[in-house]
Amino acid sequence: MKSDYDAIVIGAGPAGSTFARLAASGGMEVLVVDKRKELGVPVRCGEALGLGEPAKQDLELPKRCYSTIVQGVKVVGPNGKAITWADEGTKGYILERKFFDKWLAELAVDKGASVRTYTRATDILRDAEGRPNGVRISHGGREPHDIHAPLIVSAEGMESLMARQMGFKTVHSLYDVDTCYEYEMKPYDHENMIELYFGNKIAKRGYVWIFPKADRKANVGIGIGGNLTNGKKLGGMDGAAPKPLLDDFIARNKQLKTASTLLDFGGVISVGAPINGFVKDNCMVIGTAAKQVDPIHGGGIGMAMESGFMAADAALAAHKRKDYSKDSLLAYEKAWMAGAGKTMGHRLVLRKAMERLSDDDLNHIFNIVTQSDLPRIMDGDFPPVVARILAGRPQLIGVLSALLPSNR
Amino acid sequence: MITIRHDGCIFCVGCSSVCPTSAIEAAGTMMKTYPEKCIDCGMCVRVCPANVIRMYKGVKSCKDLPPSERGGEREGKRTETGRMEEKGRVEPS
Repeated sequence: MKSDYDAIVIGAGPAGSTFARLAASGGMEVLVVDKRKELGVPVRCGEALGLGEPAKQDLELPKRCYSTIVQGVKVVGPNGKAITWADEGTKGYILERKFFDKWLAELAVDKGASVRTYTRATDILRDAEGRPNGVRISHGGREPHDIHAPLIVSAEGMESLMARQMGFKTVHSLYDVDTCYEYEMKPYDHENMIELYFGNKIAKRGYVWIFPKADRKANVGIGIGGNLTNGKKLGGMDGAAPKPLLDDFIARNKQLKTASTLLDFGGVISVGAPINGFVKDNCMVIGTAAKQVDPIHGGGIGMAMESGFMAADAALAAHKRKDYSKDSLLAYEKAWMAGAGKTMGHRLVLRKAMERLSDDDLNHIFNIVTQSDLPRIMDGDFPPVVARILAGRPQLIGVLSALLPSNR
Repeated sequence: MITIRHDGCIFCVGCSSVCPTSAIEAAGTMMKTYPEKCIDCGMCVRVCPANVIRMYKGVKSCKDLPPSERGGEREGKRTETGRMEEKGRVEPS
């Protein structure tokens, strides 16, 4: 096996494979290592991706990579009032991650990148000046060997242990994660709409989601705030984990209570701010490893692909200059901050306001907010909606003032 | 140190993502723990969606764990089949 490359990518998820594809097509020699035996599994998410995301990179998703296309989203408040939002912007794929991740990796291979599965990065190697210059890898736990490259890219997702070794602060606090449990269930007759159920009794600081899939299947999951889980679990095993709450929800749902489960999965989703600084000398962090995840809906696939795209651009420029210093790679961070970073800022503020609302407040808001308000809220244009909410319930000023321009 | 009940683990690496000392990592197809790095903070226990992590404060070696943890299976589990129950187990006649 070759032991010198232009770039080593750790993790072959959407971010890593996108980076590898673009960097390789620009002429870099790229190695991607992934510790999993099979790419895309175990699935750890709801598998949704905006319809426009693949097209942004001139990709066309083959049919095997997705289960269905959803038309929009139905948001349901604690009292059962539903707001439906369906337009061009809300259409999306419900992916089959197992095929999607593999497909993205294959595209990278087609462009000349090397991919190695079941290969775990165990250590970051450094040169005499302390700059990362390689990775120690081990295939299936066998004898480790060293691979060198002037650029190390961490696309490790939530775990991000190598990014920590490179000096990035990627440890998640409990406040900034949601802990999630999910079933794939059948039969569930849906309207091809994502359904989100809010309420402190249903899922405190989070929501229950139903993502429709083909053949009367659906991903039914719950996410609750990580800091709200019960500490009783310490030592004993009886805690407030997401699973019992999800089981409660399913028991109350007419259709789901008799449905079968086809898959159990779960995960921990980052809902906090991105890490402070994505680049250092000779290394970059992309995708979920850099906590680039939407704090409202927890989606990270689209952002990861975008981040891989921007990082590859910066890497190619650095490759041309033969200069992999922090300053040279900084273009990636700047591009990200100007685009996705801004949206994420709005949503973080929104999340922090939403988690302080009681069921009563939520009911009030669900009565006032209409379908046309939802796109504005998601784009960060809060004042018109906030003004209408406050007109009926002025006591919410303390919570919602964070959304007004003077405070942002 | 912590113990992970591997037969219930869904391998989501959530524990690893919140561990401040990198004492848990995914290796192969299992989560691997490093008791010497563990500081007994309990973050992983609280975040685990499958509820399979338990913490033993102050314990630094597997040898000091209660006997039920050392065997890999816990006392009183799987009582439906009678196989795992240690006390009052009904022997087939």
